[in-house]
This record gives sequence, C-alpha cells and structure tokens, in this order.
Amino acid sequence: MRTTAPLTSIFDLSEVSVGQHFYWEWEGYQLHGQVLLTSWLVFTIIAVLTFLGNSNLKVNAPEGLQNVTEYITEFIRDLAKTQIGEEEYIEWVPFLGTIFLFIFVSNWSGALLPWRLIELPNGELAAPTNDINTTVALALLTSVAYFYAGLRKKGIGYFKRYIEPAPFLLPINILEDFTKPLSLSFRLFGNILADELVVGVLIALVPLVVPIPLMLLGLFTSAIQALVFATLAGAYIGESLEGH
Amino acid sequence: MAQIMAQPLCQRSCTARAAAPTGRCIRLVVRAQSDPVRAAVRAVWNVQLPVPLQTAAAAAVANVLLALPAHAEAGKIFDFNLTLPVMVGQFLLLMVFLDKFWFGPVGKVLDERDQKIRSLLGDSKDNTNELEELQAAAEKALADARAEAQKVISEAKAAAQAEQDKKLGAAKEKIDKEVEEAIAALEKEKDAALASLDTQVDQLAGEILKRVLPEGVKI
Repeated sequence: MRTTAPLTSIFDLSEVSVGQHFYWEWEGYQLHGQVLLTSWLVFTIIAVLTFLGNSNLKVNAPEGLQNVTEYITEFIRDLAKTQIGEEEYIEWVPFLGTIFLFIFVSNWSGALLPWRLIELPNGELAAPTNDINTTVALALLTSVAYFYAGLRKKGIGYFKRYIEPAPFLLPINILEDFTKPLSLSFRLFGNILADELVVGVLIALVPLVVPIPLMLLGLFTSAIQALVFATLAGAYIGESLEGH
Repeated sequence: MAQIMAQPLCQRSCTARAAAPTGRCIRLVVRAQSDPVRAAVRAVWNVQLPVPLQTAAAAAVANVLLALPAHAEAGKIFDFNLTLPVMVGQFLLLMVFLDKFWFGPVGKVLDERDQKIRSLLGDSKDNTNELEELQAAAEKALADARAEAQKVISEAKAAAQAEQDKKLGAAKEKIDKEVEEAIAALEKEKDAALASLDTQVDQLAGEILKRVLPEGVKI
C-alpha cells in the first residue's frame, strides 16, 4: 500500500494480527510472550495502586487514593455479599476482588494503552485477557474455587446436588460443570478480542474520529465483562455453598 | 492423530473402490506413516464426494488459502500451552498479594470505621436517655423550688400574721388598760363627786333646815 508517511504509520497502528503469538521457549515448552509481558504490566499497575492507596490507611479521614481502594473494596464486598450470602462472603472477597481487578485493569490497559507502538518480532501486545490461555486459567480457577467451597462446607454430601431437584437431571448437572468454565472463558475472550478487532478494522477503514464511539463502547464492555466475570464467579461459589 | 484417522479412511476408500488395485492402498498407508498430515488430506480427498460438493470444497479451501497472509504462519487462536499454568500461578500470587496488602488491611479499616460509627450512634442514643434524666431532674428541682417558695411564703405569712396578732393584742390590751384606768378614774371622780355631793347635800340640808326651822330647834 503506497500512501503518505503518517497514514502508513496509522495503518501500522491499526494492523490486527489474530492468532499470532510472540513465542518464548522454556524447557521445551512454549509460552506466549506478549501475554506474559502485558500481564506483568497489569500486575505492576495493580501493585502501584495498592502501595499508593494503602500505605497510610486512616480510619477517620481517608485521603487520596485510599478512597479509591476503599471504594473498590466496598464494591467487591457488596458483590460478594449479594452473590454468596451474609455468612460466608468475607473469605471470598480476595478471590473475587483479584478476578475483578485483574480483568478490569487488563481490559482497560488493552483499550487505553498504545501497546502497538512497541513492535514485537511476531504477534502484538494487547490486553492479557485477549488470549485464551488467560481466560481459561481464570475460568478453571473459578471452577476449582466453587468445588473447593462446596466440598469444604458439605464434604462428600456436596455431590448430592447433582441429583437435585430430580435424579434424571444428573447428566445436565454434570454438563454444567463443563459449560460454566467454558462460557466464562469464551465470553471474556470473545468480547475483548472482538472489541479489539472491531476497533482495529474501523481504524483501518476510517482512521479519524469514527472509531472513537466504538472505543468508548469498548471501554464500557471491558468494565462490564470484568463485573460479569466476578459476579458469575461469586454466583457459582454461592450456588455450591447454599444449603439444600 | 492424523495417522490414526488416515488409516481407517484409507481402508474405507479401498473398500469403497473394490475394483481398485490393492497396491494403491498400501502405498497410501506407507505415505500416512511418512507424512501423516498430507496422508490425511489425501485420504479425505480420496473419500468419494459428490462432484458439486468436491468443487465447492476446493473453492472454499482455495479461498481460505488466498485469504491467509502468505508469509505469516497460520493463525492459532486456541493455542493452549504453558502460558495457562503460568497465568494460574501468577493469578494466585496476585491474590495472595492483594489479600495481604489490599483487601485485608482496607477491609479492617472499613470494619473499624463501621464499629466506630456504630458505637457513636449508640452513644448518642444514650445521650437522649441522659437528656431525659436531666430534664426530669430539672423539673424536680423546679417543683422543689416551688414547694420551698410556697413554704417560705406561707411561713412569712404566718409570721406576719402572728406579729400582727401580737401587735393587735398589745394595742387592745393597752386600750383596755387605758379604758379601765379611765373608768377607774371616772369611778373615783364619781365617788369624790358623790362624797362632795354628800357634804354639799348635808350643808344644803343644814342651810335649808336653818332657814326653815326656827332658831334654837335642834334635830
């Protein structure tokens, strides 16, 4: 494509490469380097926010970033309380909070940070949640979490819920354990990837102004997806905790 | 995987073409062992498809091949590898970190503040009780003061009354005494007057007798 210099750079920016990865090798295993790099940046952002906000906690008059961290904590607590219930929610706050924060910061980093200015030999930097490995990891952790919650509370009696409300629902109940992580991971992965693709394609077509509403929509979807993931994880945990 | 699939497919194609020489089938199996993927493709190709479907499939494959960038390797969206367990580990570390430095401490602060507000609220409820007590005490004090004032007033009234009575009695007594004295004086005067009257009467009677009676008559 022969165009003027600024336009080419815009096209470079808008280049979307789906399914291309920046491979690292470790002990003969392959890793997606771009995902790990961006996830480290996400961790750094969260860690910086943690230290800035919580280094000097005050009970009486919170200042500055403490308000933000308190707001998020209270938000997660409310979410956990509504999904899991008054008695047991408090020990699941760190899990749900980490899910929410990690997905939220990942998604927004993908939408807000100009990752593509950094060139990789292959593939491109994007939100960590744009990779199926990340979302499946989170979804599997959620599965483990709700099994752990149920088994710890009810022991082997937890499996009674597979034949409830009626024994003939057993196959469907077993199927649910597979569909839950599947839907969780694919929902997040698909939304983030699709958002990135739509914005990329629109920038390729019309580089100025037109993609902005879609970018804003992308920000909105990203936040919603983080909320949805955390809420569903809480709901699954609450479901396996509730007494019959 | 491809190898496993290739063999049954090859056999199927062989049985489908019963008339075909067996050598061809053997050659295919050999290929399947040497290059499983290509053999699989060949085996699939050998499955007898209706002619329109064959052309359609060919067109589809050609389109897909054309659509792919020539230099890039085929895209892999569902490419699971070591990234997944690494992400799990990273996530768990992040969770421990956040529990220690975010949700733990901030939650504690929130709970403390909650506790504090609760206790303050309880105190203000106690305050209303205190207020009521104070009010009751004030009313009692007021009533006491009123009663005392009443008492003082009535005492003062009684004292004044007594004083008045005393004064009145004294005055009465004095007046009585004076009256008695006056009466006594009058009595005395009367007696004196009567006495003088007697003498005068005697004189007057002597006079009268002198005048009336001739001289030398004695009574």
